[in-house]
Amino acid sequence: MTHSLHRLGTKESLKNDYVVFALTAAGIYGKDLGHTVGSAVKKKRFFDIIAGHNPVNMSVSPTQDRRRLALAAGYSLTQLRDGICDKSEIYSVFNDLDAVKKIVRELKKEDLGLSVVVSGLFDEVFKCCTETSLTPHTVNMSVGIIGKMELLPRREVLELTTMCGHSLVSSRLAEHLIDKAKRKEITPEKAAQTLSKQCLCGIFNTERAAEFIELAAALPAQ
Amino acid sequence: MKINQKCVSCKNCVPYCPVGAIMPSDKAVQIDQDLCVECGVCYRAQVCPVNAIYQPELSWPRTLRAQFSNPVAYRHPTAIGGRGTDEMKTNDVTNRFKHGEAGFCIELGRPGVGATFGDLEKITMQLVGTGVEFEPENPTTLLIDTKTGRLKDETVRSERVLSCIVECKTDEKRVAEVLKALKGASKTANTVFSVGIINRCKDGEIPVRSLLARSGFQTYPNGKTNLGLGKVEN
Repeated sequence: MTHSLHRLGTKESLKNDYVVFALTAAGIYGKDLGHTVGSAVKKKRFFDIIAGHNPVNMSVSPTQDRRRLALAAGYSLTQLRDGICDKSEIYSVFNDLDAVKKIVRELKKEDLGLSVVVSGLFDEVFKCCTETSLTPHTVNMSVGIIGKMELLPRREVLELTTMCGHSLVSSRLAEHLIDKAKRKEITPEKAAQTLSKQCLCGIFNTERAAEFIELAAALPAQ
Repeated sequence: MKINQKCVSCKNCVPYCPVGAIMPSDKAVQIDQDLCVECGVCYRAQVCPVNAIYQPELSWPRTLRAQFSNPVAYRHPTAIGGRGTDEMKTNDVTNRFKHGEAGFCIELGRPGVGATFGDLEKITMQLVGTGVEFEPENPTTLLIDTKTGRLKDETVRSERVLSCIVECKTDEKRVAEVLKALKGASKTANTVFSVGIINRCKDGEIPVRSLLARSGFQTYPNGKTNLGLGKVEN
């Protein structure tokens, strides 16, 4: 699943949007590589490092009881941490590149052995790797959207909805909330929280969304 | 998803549907069963004041809708969970993508449009002609004949999902050829698709990026980077 790929935005707005996550390989082609068993302790350490740098949003999935818990859905850091098991994947999103750089430095030092992915501007992530004496291993790049483009909502809405890679954040809900923000019936922050709750992986950047909603609400009526 | 007779037609749920399947009316709101992809967003949103939204028992082939659309659905008719594999996220451990290879994640229906498995078939039939290697652990691969790209079970053709991902790989030198084939296939599919390209870094560079640029394909400035920290002890 490529759910942190294809986040749409200008380079300027993407400067404040980094997804950081860790997981272990369940195996490949029927062969267990021994990466997952016993990894919960390391994942808890990863979680503590991430949580110490003020993420905008964060999630753990699956938990021991096979749930997905995200901060934006109202769960606490303690609930998330307590749910971590060997199979868990831990996701977070930051609006501060300096925090990401500090996290990468700490992860290199801790040498947990987890697979760690940073989703964000390649130039910045690669620079961060160089500064930490890390060599980027593999990338996944977006070549964008192909096909019947007339089926898509307007760009201002896509910038919001593409922050949930599972497409659980409805473009209709985004439009509805932008309209309400335009009429001053809801604050951009509250509207962003409503959108963020739909994203089960906790990689929806609520703060960036609030900025987008404020800008979209200021546009002339369609 | 369905709405029962308790519905008071408040229409709170209508905008939450990612594919616009909830139809407002003054008497009772209804869910268009052809459009609904069983993602469960309307149910989880908990905006219905009378709890009229419910998940009915699904049977084949409709179960595929939930598997591909609802990240918390645990019924896996294809026996592989979710919409795709770990692809490059754990490549530092699995070595799924080697130097010189380009991986493709072609996600039909994304962002937020939805797609049918008929759309999937149009894409995979086109891809077969390029000689790509389909990812055996991807759930869509199990639905198609990898020699022809055709669906193995025709009854799934009209099933709609929020998105489904074709994962495949080829020699990185052929990446532009595959993209051109995808652009051709896009004219017949009644949806959109988001395309990701996976590549192993070499000396801190992304080899396929220059190949794409030379062929006139632009890439987003942002994407996913596996930091190479993964390892198996002993």
